[in-house]
Amino acid sequence: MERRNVIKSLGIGLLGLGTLPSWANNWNSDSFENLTFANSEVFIKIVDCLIPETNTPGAKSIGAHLYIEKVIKDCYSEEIQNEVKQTLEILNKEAVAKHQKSFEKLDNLQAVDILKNSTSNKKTVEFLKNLTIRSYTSSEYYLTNHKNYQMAPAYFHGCVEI
Amino acid sequence: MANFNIDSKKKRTFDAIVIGSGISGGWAAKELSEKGLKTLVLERGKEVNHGDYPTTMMQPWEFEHLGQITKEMKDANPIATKCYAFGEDSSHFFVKDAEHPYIQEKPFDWIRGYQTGGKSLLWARGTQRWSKYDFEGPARDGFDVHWPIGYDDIAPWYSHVEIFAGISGNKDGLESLPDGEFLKPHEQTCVEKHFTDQMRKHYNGARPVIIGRCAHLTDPQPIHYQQGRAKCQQRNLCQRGCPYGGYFSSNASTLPWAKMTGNMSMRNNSVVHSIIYDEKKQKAVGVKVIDAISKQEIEYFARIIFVNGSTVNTNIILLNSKSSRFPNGLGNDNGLMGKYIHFHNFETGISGEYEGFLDKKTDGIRPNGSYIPRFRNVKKQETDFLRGYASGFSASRMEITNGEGWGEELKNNLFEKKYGNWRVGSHFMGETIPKISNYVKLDETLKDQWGVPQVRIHVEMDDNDAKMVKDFKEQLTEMYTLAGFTNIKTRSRNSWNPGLDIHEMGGVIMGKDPKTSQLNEWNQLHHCKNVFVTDGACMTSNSTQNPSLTYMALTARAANHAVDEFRKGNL
Repeated sequence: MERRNVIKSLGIGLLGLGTLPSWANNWNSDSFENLTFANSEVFIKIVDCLIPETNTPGAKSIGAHLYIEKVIKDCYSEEIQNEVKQTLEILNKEAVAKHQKSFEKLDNLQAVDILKNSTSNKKTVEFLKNLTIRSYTSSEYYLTNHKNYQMAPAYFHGCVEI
Repeated sequence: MANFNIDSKKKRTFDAIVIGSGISGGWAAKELSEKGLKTLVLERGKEVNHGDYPTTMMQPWEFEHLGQITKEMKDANPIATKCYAFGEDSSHFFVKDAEHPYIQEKPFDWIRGYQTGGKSLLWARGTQRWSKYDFEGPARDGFDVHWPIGYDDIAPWYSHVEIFAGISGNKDGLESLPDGEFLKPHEQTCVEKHFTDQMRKHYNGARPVIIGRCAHLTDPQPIHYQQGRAKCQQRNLCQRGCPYGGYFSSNASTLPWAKMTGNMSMRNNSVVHSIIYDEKKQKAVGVKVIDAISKQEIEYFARIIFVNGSTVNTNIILLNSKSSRFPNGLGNDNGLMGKYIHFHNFETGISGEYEGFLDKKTDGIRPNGSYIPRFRNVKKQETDFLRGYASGFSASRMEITNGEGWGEELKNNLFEKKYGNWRVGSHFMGETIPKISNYVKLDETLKDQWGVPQVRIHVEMDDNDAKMVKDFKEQLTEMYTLAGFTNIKTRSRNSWNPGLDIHEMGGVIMGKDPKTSQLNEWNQLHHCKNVFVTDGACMTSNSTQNPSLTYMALTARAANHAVDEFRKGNL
C-alpha cells in the first residue's frame, strides 16, 4: 500500500480549508491497491448516526468515514480488518432482517439502534465508535470552535481559575 | 591515491575536519571556524537546512492517520518506531531499521537520525549541569576508570554554551545540580508547586523538586537574534523541527553561525569509513569518506580531526581506522576501545492522581516539565546499590472527552466541558555503571552498504540497575503518598532495551591513564593527539543528567584547546 506523502497534504492544507481534512480533498479509495475493503457507504452511515449533523457539523461532514477507512487499512492488522469486515456484514444482515434495506439506507435512528443492539462483536463496534470520536475531536471544526485550540500559544500559565 | 593531482588535494585540505553535525559536531564546527580555522564538516545524512521541516506547520487534522504510525512502517521498523518521538510528523528524521543494520548480541534499540543536525532536531532538550559529585563519583565508588577533569574545569564551558544555546531555568542554588546562565524559567503547575512544597517539608530540603532546565528561548537575547532565532512559541511540536529556532539545534544555531564565519564547509552524504594515520608523521592526516549515494571513495585532509559521529558510530570509525601502528583501531593500544559502553536506565516510571485544586487548571502549552534531581547517594553511600537516579515530574489537567451515548446524546457529551483530576507522573533516569563487559565491536565479515564493518552491540542491565529500579518505585511511591496523591501505579517497561534512552555513551572514554582510557583531559586520543572525541563516546560515566549539555561544553572546551595547540604548532 502506498503511503501518501505528507508534504503534499501540507500544500493543500495551506491553500484552502474546507470542512474536510486537507488530505481527504485529494484522496479516494481507488488510490489503493488491493481494494478489498470498499465500505465507504456503510462507514458514512456509521459515523453519521453516531455523531449526526445538527445545527453544527457532524462526523460525516468532517470526513470521519474517510479517516476510519484509511486508518483501518493503513494502521491495523489483517485480523482487525477482518473483524471489521465481518461486523459490517452482520450489521447489514441485521438491517435487512429488521428493515428490509441495507444498513447504509437506514435512517440514523434505525442505524444507531442496530449498532447498539447488534449481535456482532461489541469490541469492534466500540472500536469503530472510538475511531469516529477520535476523528471528530481532532477535526478543525471541533478543535477551533470548541477547544479554543491554538497551535502556537506562546504562553503557559501553570495555575488558572477554571 | 595516485590519480589525484596536487590541486585536487589542496581543495580537499582544511585546517580541521569535524565528523558529524549533531549536537556536539555543531559546536566543534562553530568554535573552530569562529577562531579562524578552515573547517570541513562531514555529515553522513541528507541535507536539512534550518527551515526544511516539512511537517512543522501542519495542523493535527492534516495528518492522514492523525499522527498514528502505519502498520507498514511499524512492521518494517520495529526498533525506530519504539522511540517516543517517532510519529507521523517526524518519521522522516529517523534512520529506518533496514537502512543501517547492526548485530544485537543483546537487545539494543539503536535510535539514529542521519541528517544535518543529527538528533539535535529530535532531542528532549533537557539541559542540567553535572555537579562535582557527578565527576567525582567513579573515583569514590571504585569504578574502573575515573574522570580526568572535575566540575571546575568544565564550569566556564557550561556557561559558554548555555549563553549561546539559550537555556531556560530557575536559579535553585542546589549543590547537586549547579545553576547555570539561565533565561526565564517555565512555570510549575499548581500541583507541581504543591509537590515541591510537600517534599521540602517532609524531607527537610533533601529532595528538591524544580522546574526543568531546558534549551528553549523563553527570553531571547541579542546573541540569539544574531543567530536568526526567535522566542519559543510553546507549541511543543519540537520533533518536527522548529521554524522559529525556539529550541536549540545545530540546524538553527551552531551550523548557521559557523557558516557565517566563512570558514566552514559542509559535505552531506559523507559516510566516514576511517581516519587516515600517517606512520611517518605519527599523526592522523585526514579521513576516508564514502559518498552515501554514489558509494565513491574520497579523501579529505586536515591537521585537526574531531570525531562527533554519535557514540556508536564514533566507536565504529575509530575501530575501523587500522594502520600498522594501530592494528586494533586508532589510539587503541590498550585494547579497551569499544568497551565500557553505558547508558541511562529508563525502564520504570510512576503515575497517580491528585484530587485537590479542582477549581484550577493550566492554560497554554509548556514544552518542559518539573525535575527531581538525584537525591540518592549524592554525598555518601546510603543504599545497597551504587549511584542514583533523577526523575521527571509533571502534573497536568486535561478536559475529559465523554464518549458515552449514541447519536445526538453522544454529540452533546463531546461538547461538554469537564475536567478530570490532576494527573501526575514521573519517569526514571538511572545512572548505570560502565563495565568492561558492555561493548561494541566490529563484525569480522558483515559490512554495511558503504563497506564499513557492521557493529555488534552487547549491552546488558545488571543487578545494580534492578536494585535501583526497586528503590525508585519505593521512594517515589512514598513521595507521592506524602503529597496526597492517589491511584499511584508504578510501571515496568518490559519492551524497553538499553539504547532506547538515546543516551548511549562510552567506548572511547576520558581518563588519566592511557592503560585504561583512550582520551586525555582535553579529549585528545592519548596516542594520537590531533584526534579529538567529544560526543557521547568520550563519557567516563553517565550520572543522571540528560547528557547533551555536557557534550556541548566538553566540545567547546576541547575545540578551544585544539585551536591553541594548533596556533602553537603542536598539532
